Amino acid sequence: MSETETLAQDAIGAPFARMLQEHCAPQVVRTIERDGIGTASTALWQALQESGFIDALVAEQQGGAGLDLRSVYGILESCGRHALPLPLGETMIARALLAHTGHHVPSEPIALGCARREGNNVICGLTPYARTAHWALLQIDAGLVLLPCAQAQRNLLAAPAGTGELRWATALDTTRVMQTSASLLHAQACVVAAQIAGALGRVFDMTLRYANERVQFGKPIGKFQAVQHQISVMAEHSAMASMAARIGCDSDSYLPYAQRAAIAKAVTSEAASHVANLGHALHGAIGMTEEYDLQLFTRRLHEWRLCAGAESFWQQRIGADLLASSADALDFVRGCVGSRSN
Amino acid sequence: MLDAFQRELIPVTDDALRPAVREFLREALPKVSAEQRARSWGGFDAEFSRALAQRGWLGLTLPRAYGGAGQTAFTRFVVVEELLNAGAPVAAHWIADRQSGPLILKYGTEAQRQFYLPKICRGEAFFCIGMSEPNSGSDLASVKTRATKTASGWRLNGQKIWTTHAHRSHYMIALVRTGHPSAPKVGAGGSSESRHDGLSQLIIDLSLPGVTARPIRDLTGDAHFCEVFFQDVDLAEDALIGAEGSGWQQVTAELAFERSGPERLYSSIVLLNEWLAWLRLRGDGADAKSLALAGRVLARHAVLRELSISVTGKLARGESPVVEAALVKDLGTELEQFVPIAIADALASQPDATLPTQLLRTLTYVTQVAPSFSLRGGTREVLRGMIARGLGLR
Ligand SMILES: Cc1cc2nc3c(=O)[nH]c(=O)nc-3n(C[C@H](O)[C@H](O)[C@H](O)COP(=O)(O)OP(=O)(O)OC[C@H]3O[C@@H](n4cnc5c(N)ncnc54)[C@H](O)[C@@H]3O)c2cc1C
Repeated sequence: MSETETLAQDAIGAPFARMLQEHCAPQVVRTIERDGIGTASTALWQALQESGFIDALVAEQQGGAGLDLRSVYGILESCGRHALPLPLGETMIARALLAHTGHHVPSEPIALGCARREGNNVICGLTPYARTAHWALLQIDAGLVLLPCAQAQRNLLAAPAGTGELRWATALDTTRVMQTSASLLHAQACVVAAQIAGALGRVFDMTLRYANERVQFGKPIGKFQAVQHQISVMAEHSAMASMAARIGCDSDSYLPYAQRAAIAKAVTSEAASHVANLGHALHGAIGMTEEYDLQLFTRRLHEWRLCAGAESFWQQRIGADLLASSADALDFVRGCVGSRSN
Repeated sequence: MLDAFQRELIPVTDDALRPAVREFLREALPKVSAEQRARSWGGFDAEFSRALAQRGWLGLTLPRAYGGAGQTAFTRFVVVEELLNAGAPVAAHWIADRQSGPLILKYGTEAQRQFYLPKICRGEAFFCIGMSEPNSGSDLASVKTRATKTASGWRLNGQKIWTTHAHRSHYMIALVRTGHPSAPKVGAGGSSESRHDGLSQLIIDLSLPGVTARPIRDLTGDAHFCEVFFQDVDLAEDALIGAEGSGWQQVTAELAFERSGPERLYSSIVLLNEWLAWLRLRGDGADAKSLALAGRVLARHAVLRELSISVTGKLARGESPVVEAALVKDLGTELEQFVPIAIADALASQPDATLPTQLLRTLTYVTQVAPSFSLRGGTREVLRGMIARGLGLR
């Protein structure tokens, strides 16, 4: 099934994906990666704002669409599938949280992160979109605080990367901390997992197409059994990642269930590096070039794997939950993933 | 194809069956060792199968008119998942319930349905799968066992091998050659159309003269699979199931049933649960590595189970999810094979650890049989080839 066909079944994801096809072509991604915050990012953000999707998770009485995480899965996945260089999923969560706590909601892009204090510094490591976010909504101790990124030092992972550390060299104004029971880490894990599923799907699609086009020894490389099997493995891991990310977003509110988020990030993180590497292996040298789009997605897969906890972090959490319970494997899994009556 | 995995939910009415199945298992299975339970769908116990039948849990998806329960593939998923999770000895009825029954319902004549299906549902007809032969494994279309027309039906000659529990089954559904002997049947050379021509499926009564089934001992000392010889076995006309010459297409549909169940996720479950129970009992708590391993396996299990439920949804709608089933089976057997390897490392990470013998024996058994997980029902390489075909690469 093509992306368009699948999305046709998703009334919310489909118009969003069409919008990204129009406004977030690979050249736009490259420009924003080159310039950071600039005219291109501002124009793209404006398009996203005008689309109205950014308030999808905000409650209706606060002026949003009041959707749950499950309904916006298609949006989050599309962000990854199109390498959107702006934190749309994060901003959607942040806006819902801020509106809920009655906080002023800024109009610019907002990154999410879990920060700690070190002397007079506030540090948020491995933050996706540290490059292009204007704001960062941080979980610090048990509270939330919204800080302007313009005042932070941005230590990026690499020149074109969106991910990096944000560091504020000012003492935290504790009066600005909002108390919350929400876990930003889990919310972020779900958003990132969905983006990984999207980017991974894109890497798979590109590799499948390439294997049908690239000719060596007189036939498309996809005719070689060794290549076919590697692509089959990619298909398996893509299917697994996409199901995992949907489990993560399976929630009736704008925040995820903790154990579903854990499963989502554990499984997608593991698939991310695996599929990225297979995609490169099958593309040969062309896949290593700046000009070819593959890198836009594989670089993100590796970055996102690091964000909000890589696989072993979540695996340990799941293992600890499991051992703290008395359930066997089946009951534990059923308890995590649950079932809905509708 | 990837997007073909829609999220599906097990209907609440089916999930509600679990307590009853568990209650039944507590009564029907007196305390059996973990090592024994680890055999699960290799464990043969005709009485247990008949007790299940009495509860109405065999032939769950078959219509009531034939003695079935008229339920959906989801109902079967729930019951089967509970049986496997408990390590119940399901082998006796396994094949009949999983694939022979649905096959007969789909391709059989009314008389065949009336004859076989009620017996299957009562646990009185056990079936085995006669596909593999000594020279036809992955290249299944090259089978040589042949049935020739006689005045009263068919005469069968040839040999099957690896036929699980043939020596204890009543019937075999076999893939045999019925076409003209001169039809091309050479390896990769023949066009696929001609190679798949002239194959048919027969239901063979294994008590007939000329049938010999000999068990073959496996590396653990168990004897489940057999070699089966057919020497001038005379079969009635109605031994043919489905259309003459449609054997290949029917066997493909049968394999979709064979590969799509939850059992491709549960072959190591008894070991996994034993290990978890042991970790809980240990006073000093689990180390970070063991926690991560438990979490890794459970996270995967949770996701693969959802994929399996998605495939079940397709079966429930009457689809034949051949490629999707292959994909889930390949992922499932990879996890099943990972479990004993990883648990072994976790258990023996300290050279001086004292470990319960029963746990180690379960580990050893599962480790030894684990290679078969990705052989039976089609090898890993064959499945990956099918996925590639589904993706349009071949
Ligand atoms: C426990 C167990 C139970 C079984 N029960 C039954 C049963 O009840 N009924 C039944 O009919 N059969 C049964 N089988 C047989 C099973 O279906 C076969 O083992 C399987 O189809 C593989 O055939 P083979 O063993 O002849 O291996 P081969 O086909 O000889 O394969 C050997 C190796 O070569 C690889 N290979 C073969 N062809 C290709 C190719 N074209 N491309 C790439 N690699 C290839 C295979 O993947 C494998 O790695 C059972 C097997 C086991 C282990």
